[in-house]
Amino acid sequence: MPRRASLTPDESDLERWIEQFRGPLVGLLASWGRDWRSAEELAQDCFAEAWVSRASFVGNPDSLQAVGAWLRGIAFRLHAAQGRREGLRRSASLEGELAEAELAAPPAASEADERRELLARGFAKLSDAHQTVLRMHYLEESSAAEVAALLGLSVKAVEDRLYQARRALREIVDRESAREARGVRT
Amino acid sequence: MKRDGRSLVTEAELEELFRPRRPDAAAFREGVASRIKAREAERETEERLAERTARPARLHAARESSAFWRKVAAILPPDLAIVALKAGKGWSAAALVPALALIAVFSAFTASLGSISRSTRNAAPPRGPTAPGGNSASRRELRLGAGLHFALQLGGLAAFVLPLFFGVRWVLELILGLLLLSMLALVAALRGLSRSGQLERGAVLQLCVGLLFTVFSSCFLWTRTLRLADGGSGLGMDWGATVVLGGTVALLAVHRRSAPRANLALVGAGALLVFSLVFFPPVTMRSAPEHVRAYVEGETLHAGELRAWDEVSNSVEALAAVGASPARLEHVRREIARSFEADVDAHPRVWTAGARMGLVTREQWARLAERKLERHRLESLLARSGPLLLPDYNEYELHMLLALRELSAEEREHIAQRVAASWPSETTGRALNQLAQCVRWMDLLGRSEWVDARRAEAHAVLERHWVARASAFDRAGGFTSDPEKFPTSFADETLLGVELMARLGVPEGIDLARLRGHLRAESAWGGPFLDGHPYLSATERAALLRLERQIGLPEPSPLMRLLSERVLLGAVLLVVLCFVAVARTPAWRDPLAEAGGGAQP
Repeated sequence: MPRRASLTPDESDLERWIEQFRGPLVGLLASWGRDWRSAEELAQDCFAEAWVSRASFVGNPDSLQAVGAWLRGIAFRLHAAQGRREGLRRSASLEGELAEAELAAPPAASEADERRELLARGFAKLSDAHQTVLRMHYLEESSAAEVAALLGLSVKAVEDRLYQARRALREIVDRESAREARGVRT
Repeated sequence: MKRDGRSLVTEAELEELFRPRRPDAAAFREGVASRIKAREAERETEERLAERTARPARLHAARESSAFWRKVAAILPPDLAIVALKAGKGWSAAALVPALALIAVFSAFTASLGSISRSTRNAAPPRGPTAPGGNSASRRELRLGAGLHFALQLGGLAAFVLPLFFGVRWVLELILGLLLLSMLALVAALRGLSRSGQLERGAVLQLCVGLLFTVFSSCFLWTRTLRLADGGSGLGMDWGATVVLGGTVALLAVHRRSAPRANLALVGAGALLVFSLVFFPPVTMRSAPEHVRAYVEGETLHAGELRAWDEVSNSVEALAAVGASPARLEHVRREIARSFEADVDAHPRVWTAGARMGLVTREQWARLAERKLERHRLESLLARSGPLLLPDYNEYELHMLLALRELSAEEREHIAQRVAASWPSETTGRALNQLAQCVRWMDLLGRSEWVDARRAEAHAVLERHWVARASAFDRAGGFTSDPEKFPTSFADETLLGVELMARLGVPEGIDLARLRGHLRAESAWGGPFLDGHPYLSATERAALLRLERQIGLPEPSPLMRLLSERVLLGAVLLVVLCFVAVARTPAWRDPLAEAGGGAQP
């Protein structure tokens, strides 16, 4: 990596960070119990906070690990702060959650829709850790290195988790398919 | 990703699954831009406001005071100090200083709560892994916190060393000062962590546990174990240590998942707490009549030994003096009877104890008087003239004489004159013991009015033997046998002092609350390992029983009670502060472990 003249992040750094970490960050925030819309908004807050506080960033803005850890910390703090605020009005948001649930499971129309619904049901049965890496990786087809930087893991560890998650998902989907087939026969 | 690819769900399927949730890149960028704009506008407004309010303060500070003193002023609000000073106009310095110290600790507590709240609310974002440790402001705060922590350790050393040179009177205030310092250290360290982006629950938990351990070792470990604090310290020195250790254990138990090795620390702190409770249990009184009675009934005595005879007779006399139900004394009576047998080599102390408890019969005295030496002693009482040698164990001679023959008025007068000649002056060696013996003998001779007429002289002796101040390892708040040679309180002399005050009234110079504090500390339950030797505290317990039920003390006002427990209050406030600091700091967890109930595609 060529050495930079200045380590203070500039606007091009912000653009790059958004491109690199938008998908994994939204996926991570969605894994912490947020709905997709809220996760996206909070991710925007994280990038804005990172930019406004860029003077206190110590490290190389080109380093994936440094920026990943920095964004993860901001995300965690904003998520915790917002969680405390939302705790008071949690009951009011139940309606929104119901609407979200409806969106998550649209009625099946075609064979492709049926397959998608099967995958969605299988995904819901995966462990939390597997769900997290799948969200972060496939939401915007981000690289394992970007996901790893945001999680503070090695690239190899993320690749292993992705492999295990996909295998587990396949097993669940196969099992579900077989059960449905038996249900049709009976 | 290619291994066993045929058996996996395809990447295309997964991408398709999440496609509806994919953020719109342009809208996302716009959202970030609008948020940045809003935040920068907000920050500009804040900076303008801060600049407007800070300018006059800076000018004033430059003229009047340094930043350090402004911080001190913030912690001890001047209004409170003025109120305290006004309220304390009529108070003695002994009450005013503790009051001011307690107000300072309360003020530090409230200021610290506010500071912790600000630190957790305005925490800087965490740094990247290559960060060397924050900007200059955060480093300054962290250095300040570390410096205060070091000062706390030095203060603990001072609390150990200073009493050796300056006495124990202000040790409680020194400990309160250390508790205040520990609050400041916590606040400064939290601000440093907050500014450097390292504020997370695990770090704060470690900080608080370390601080509480330091406070325990600095403020309580040696001062409590060696009893370096003033005897009138209420429950603070004992329960304060338990509160700090118990608080540490509770803090670790509640937040044990927040920091690595918290479970190990929990085990260590728990073991220390158990050790402390077993070997140095907090003050638990054993001076109620039922405890004293239980001691008397459970004590094993032997006619041929000296052990515990004084303690038992003191306890029996104390029970009688306060009008409590008498103890069952069959075992004592049996040993007393044995002590008069010819083949038992009993000490006169046993007979004196028996006489004072009223357990010796006329026949037993008669049998004793048959011995040549004892007959000679009885004859000497009447035949000789001049002062009597009055060691405390010779009282039996008068009991024996009075039991065996009816004294004529002349004989009583003769003995009374000899006792009067023995009446001590202030400077007589062992004057307090001599005074107590004279009073007892005069009362037995029916010359109580002679004693009453010398009340002022007796008070002067009592005041001279009262230990108002003591250095470390000495005990203040009781009476000594020799104020010149031994400026520390002794159990026997303190009991005699209480007995004399019950008989002759309390001199002005004796602080009964202090005396009670001393006796409470000395007569407290020593834990299960000392429970097998209850005679070790029996004299102090008898003295405390007589002080509380025979002399009586005015009930302290709620304010004075509060002040006497100031160290305990300070310890509780520090523990509460630690709990608040840890609870308000967001916990840092593995992002994967944090996942749960996430949004579905």
